[in-house]
Amino acid sequence: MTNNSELLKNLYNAFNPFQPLPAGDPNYVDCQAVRGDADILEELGNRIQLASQNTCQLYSGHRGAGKSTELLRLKEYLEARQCYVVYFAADEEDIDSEDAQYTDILLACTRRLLQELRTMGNPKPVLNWLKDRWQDLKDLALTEIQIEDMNVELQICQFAKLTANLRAVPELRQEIRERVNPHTVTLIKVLNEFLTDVKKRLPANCNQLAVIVDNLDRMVLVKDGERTNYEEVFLDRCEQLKSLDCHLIYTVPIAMVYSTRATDLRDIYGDPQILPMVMVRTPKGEIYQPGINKVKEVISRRIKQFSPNKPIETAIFDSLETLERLCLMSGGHVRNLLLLTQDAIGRTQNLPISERAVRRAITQARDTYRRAVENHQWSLLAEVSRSKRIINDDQYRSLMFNRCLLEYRYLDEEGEMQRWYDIHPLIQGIQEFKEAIEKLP
Amino acid sequence: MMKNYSHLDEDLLPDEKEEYQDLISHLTRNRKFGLYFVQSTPLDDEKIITKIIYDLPNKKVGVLRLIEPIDTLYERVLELYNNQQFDVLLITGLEHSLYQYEQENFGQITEDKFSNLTKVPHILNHLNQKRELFRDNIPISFVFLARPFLISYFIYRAPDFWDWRSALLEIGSINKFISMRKNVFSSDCQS
Repeated sequence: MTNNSELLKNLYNAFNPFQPLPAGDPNYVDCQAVRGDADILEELGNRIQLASQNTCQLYSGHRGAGKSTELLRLKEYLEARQCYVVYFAADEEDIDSEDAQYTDILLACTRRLLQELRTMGNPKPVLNWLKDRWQDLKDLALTEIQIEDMNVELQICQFAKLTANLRAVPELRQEIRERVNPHTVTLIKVLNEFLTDVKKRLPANCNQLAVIVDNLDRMVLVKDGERTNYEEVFLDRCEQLKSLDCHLIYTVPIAMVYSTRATDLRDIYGDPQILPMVMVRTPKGEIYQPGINKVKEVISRRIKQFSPNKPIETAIFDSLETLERLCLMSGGHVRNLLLLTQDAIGRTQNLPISERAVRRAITQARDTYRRAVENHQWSLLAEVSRSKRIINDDQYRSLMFNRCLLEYRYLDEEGEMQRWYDIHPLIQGIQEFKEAIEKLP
Repeated sequence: MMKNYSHLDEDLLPDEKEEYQDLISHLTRNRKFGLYFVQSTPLDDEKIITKIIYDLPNKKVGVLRLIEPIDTLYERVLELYNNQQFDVLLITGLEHSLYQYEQENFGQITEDKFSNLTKVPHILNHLNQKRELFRDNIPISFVFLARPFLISYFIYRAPDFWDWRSALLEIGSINKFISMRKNVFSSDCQS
């Protein structure tokens, strides 16, 4: 095997699109300045630090934009500031993101908090709640064992079984919800008793408790008539969602933030914090070099770990132009950037990566957008590409969800934050879009 | 309006041979978990499978041919992987699950209900949910050979699973360039 092919292998594997970076990872690039100064540490973290009472905040952004990476940074930041943080990805073990309701989230929080904090506080109130419900629930946890016969660890495990079945066994899901639903208020009450006890026994260097529930934004939109599952969770059950006795951060689907219910959401939780794209063009369509440079840095950090000496713009890519075109076509979206780069490397037999390989990766990535847009949506995209604005309207919802529309931010000359929107740059070359542009008045 | 329009906005369509060679490069280079989608025709699936096995002599390639609808896949693949330790798993026949979904929920098979928001096919829900487990416990290249409508189903109804892909490759008529030897290794897991 030549060095060239070994290097290509290393580079290929450095651009996997499915792993959020842990806090402190050397590949992390701070893009705050080109995301309109969006800083999760300042916006979410400081609010928790300064608050005299519990906060409940929403965090949102496009799928794959780097939310989990940012939330893991926030966790580390808070931990360094006397805050004990429980972070969990809701859909990894507890929640079915295709069919999630409020009860599922409450049970997931209960299980995670019990699991992580059981040695710190007395879990008895919660376990007593479970005992009281046990006759009703034991068949749903698929066990015949009497809860009185279990030790505390095993009792806590029963919550895990319930949430595991909630997630994995659709036939049981509705039944579990129906049996737990009438008792959610009492469950919150006992969970808060547990949290109160935990807060008294936090490690000596901690004086606050925060829970970060990640990946709730992955909930797939399901409509039942005019109602959506997003509204059920974030609006109808907001009082309960907010009522845990600690600081709370929930991720929320970006499509909800831009729905007709956006105002309700803001009234309840305050302004959701949104992680925008890295701005690679200005609203006028000019190349924004600081943004391009940041995106290039995302690529070069990953390359330099395997090829510290080769010039990226001539030895890894065949030209600066090829590299910059790739960056532009990502729209400043990190996972798109990783996908395009990895696919271009996959289409390269020998370094440098050619313009042709990049173009073919772009062509293939464009196809996803072509398929994701329904016929009636091309005209909406054409309008946004001209106006750079959207209104909170449900017709934009799925276009935000599938990243056909992207959000950008910048600070204007007066230091005011300006928010604007654009189509994903891959859409620009699609025939249906070009036709919609021609039809604009 | 289109002042930023460039030649990169024009599709560069590859020939089948180039696209196939790119698939082999992807699979050769991937060391751990990876998701690949190959858009092909049912007539070409077997030829593509045979050729991939032949062209990846240093990888152990498994084949999972699904011949009936399924609701889950993870446990089955985990067992196969634990027994056979392959590097690449080629999967065909997922469309049967979508046909059943359409038949049961919409009364007929149309191959076009992917944008319907009222339902989610069980198998796509399962894949979307279990993606971390696939990634963490079965660190191989998964190659789904699929029809165009199935790709659309992934895009609409399993968007997080789809978002983890490393590549989609469109291989049309493979007959144009195929040259195969017989007696190639196959760890078939005929279902």
